[in-house]
Amino acid sequence: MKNVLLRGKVIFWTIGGILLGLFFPFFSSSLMDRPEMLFYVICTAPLFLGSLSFLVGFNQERFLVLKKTEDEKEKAYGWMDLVLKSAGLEVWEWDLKENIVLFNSELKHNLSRFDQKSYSFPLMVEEFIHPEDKDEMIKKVYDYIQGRATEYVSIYRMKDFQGKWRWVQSNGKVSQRDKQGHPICFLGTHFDITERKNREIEINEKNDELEHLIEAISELAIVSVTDRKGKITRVNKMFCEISGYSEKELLGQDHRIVKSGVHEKKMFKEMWEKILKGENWIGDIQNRKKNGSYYFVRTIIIPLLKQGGINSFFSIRFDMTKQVQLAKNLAEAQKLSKIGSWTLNTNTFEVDLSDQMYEIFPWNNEERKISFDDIYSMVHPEDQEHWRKAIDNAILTKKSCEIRFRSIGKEEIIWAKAIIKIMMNKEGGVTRLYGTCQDITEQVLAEEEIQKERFKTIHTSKLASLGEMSAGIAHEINNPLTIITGNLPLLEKIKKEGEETKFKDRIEKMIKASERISKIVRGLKKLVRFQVDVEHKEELISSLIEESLVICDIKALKTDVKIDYKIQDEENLIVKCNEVEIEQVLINLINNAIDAVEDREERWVKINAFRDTNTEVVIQVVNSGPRIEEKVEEKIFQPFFTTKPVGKGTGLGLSISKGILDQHGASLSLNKSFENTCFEIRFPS
Amino acid sequence: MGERMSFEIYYLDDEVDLLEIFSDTFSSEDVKIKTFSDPSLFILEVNKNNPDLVFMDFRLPHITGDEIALKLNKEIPKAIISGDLNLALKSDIEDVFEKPYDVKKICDFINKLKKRD
Repeated sequence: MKNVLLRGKVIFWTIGGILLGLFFPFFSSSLMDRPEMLFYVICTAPLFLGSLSFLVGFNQERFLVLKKTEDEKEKAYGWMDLVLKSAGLEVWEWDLKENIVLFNSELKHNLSRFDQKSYSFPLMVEEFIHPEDKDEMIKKVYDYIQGRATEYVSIYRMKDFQGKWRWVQSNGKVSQRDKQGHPICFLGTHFDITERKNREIEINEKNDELEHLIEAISELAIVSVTDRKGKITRVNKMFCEISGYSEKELLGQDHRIVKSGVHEKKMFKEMWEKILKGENWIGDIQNRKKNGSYYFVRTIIIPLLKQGGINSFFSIRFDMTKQVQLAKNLAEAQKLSKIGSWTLNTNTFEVDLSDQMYEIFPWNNEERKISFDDIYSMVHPEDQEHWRKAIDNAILTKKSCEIRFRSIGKEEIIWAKAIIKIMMNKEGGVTRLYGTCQDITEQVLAEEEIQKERFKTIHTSKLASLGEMSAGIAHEINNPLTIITGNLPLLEKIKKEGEETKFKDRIEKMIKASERISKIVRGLKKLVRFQVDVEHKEELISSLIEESLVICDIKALKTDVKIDYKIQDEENLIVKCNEVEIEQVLINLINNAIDAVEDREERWVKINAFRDTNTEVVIQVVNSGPRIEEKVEEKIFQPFFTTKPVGKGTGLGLSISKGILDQHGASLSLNKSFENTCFEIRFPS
Repeated sequence: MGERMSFEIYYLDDEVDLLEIFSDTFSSEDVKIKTFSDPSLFILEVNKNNPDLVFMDFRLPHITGDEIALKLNKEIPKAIISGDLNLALKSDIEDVFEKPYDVKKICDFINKLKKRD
């Protein structure tokens, strides 16, 4: 096509020249003047101008062709350059006869830094090949040329035109051989693999790093590596030690070999979902050893990526068996002691409870998420105010405290004891309350039982003293009874005889006798009364003392001990107490006083009651005996201690009395400011 | 003692009202009753006059009827009238009556002793 066009141009130029030659004579005035010349001119001018124009046209074409060749060559080189460059290729030729290496230095961007087209092979090696790679390269070259290797591929570092080392892969082939078959020309390429090589190095370095990491972790933790499917490809010593399996037994297996079966399938499903997404998974797992026992591990699974995909999974596990055991022990201890622990955030009122708390309180809460208000609502209504106050007080006063409260269970009432402690921030503000909570239901029930027992003991001791006194009491009752029964048959006779005065006198005596009896019986009734929960009422001290004396007078009379009592401000001397119990205490103290002086020359018991300067109500029981020896004093309030001969006392009197007074918040002690024995009771104001 | 004298009974009790009732109940033409509330006077009088029969209370100030009996002449028949329960007696006591006593039983006892005389 181009040729046609070019040929057209030549013809165009030729015809143009001929036409110009034909018209030329008409433009020349001189030729008009010389007609003889016109013929020649008409004949020669077209021929001459046509030939000239042909030459012009032809030359133009030739010039174009030349230009085109030059362009295409340049273009071809450009293409080749581009191809070679983008491929990282460089062509070399080694003339084995001359031992000269030629490079395609025509290329603008030489891979290697050659300032001349050819080098002798040794110089080339010396100049451009990395010293570390030289020997191997030379060996490979000669192995191939001398026929020891079937192909030549060598990787080494070469200096590029900037003087930087670049990794190249050199491939070569013998391109020419002489008649004897000896190679005379060795042709090949250099392929730039720097980037690939660098990446490889980087990966190797990274792998090395990972390897070091794995090794380091292996010292500390249980380590395993599995392939994508979960088959174990690597385990460390600790894995073998804890599981009881050998490395050989573990490799190729998956982790189901140590599966305990206690975890739900859901957990493992979620784990796989996560790690297959390339995310790390952390969880606590219970595994089974080869011998069937269990171990607990905190597991971290890290998916390892390679070429954009998950290649393997790296697992680090920490042996948590001890911790789990400790936690279990703690939970067990909490369970056994029925002590739970709790935390309350005082800003948000969020609560955090130990499992045992849910055991103590049978709250209907399977998710074990409970709010402060929920807890509050389950406190016994009668204890709610006191419960709330304790918490508010702890926050306000920043002081630890202890409370007892009842909580309503499903059916029963649970008694609990909570210890409240304070946690403060740097500024001293309360941030948290924490503490323990203990189920003391059994304890409270036992205490109630003990209380009952105590009353029984008191009752028994009452009976004992009753027994002790019974003979005397019988005597005291039977005497007035005899007055009545003895007078009865006589009354008729006296009436018949008409002795009015005597009759009246006898009736009077009989009434008195029956009053005596009823008083004693009333006293006895009190002595044996058995009550557990008697409300404390305000009682006059005088009546307490007088009622006690009903019983004690019998003994005093028998032993000829004089009893006196003195009460200050009688009408206002009042204590809030359990009447029966305090009378029991007084009877006990007075009886003891009588016993103490029974065999003495001087026999008296004095009872003083008054309000002292600190408004405490004091009752003193003083007897004519000497002050109590210090030796005895220490033991005097201990149960079963008695100075009385065998059979005379139970040794429980004073200890029980003290117990009763303790319950009243009152004290019982010896007052040593008296020369005589003085027991002193003090009721707080 | 040729002439038959009346039957003499001494009675000791610290409950004064009982003394009056006792003598009112048991005195008759041939039974004379003398009462005491003080044990020492009683012992003195009994040993001096040797009554035919003595009745004593058991629980007395600083002494029991039982102990008093030991201080009395042996031949005098002794009886206790007591409100106490289950008395353990050491001395030679003819009989024990519980308070409140049955008048008839005591009369029978007195009559029995009278006949013995």
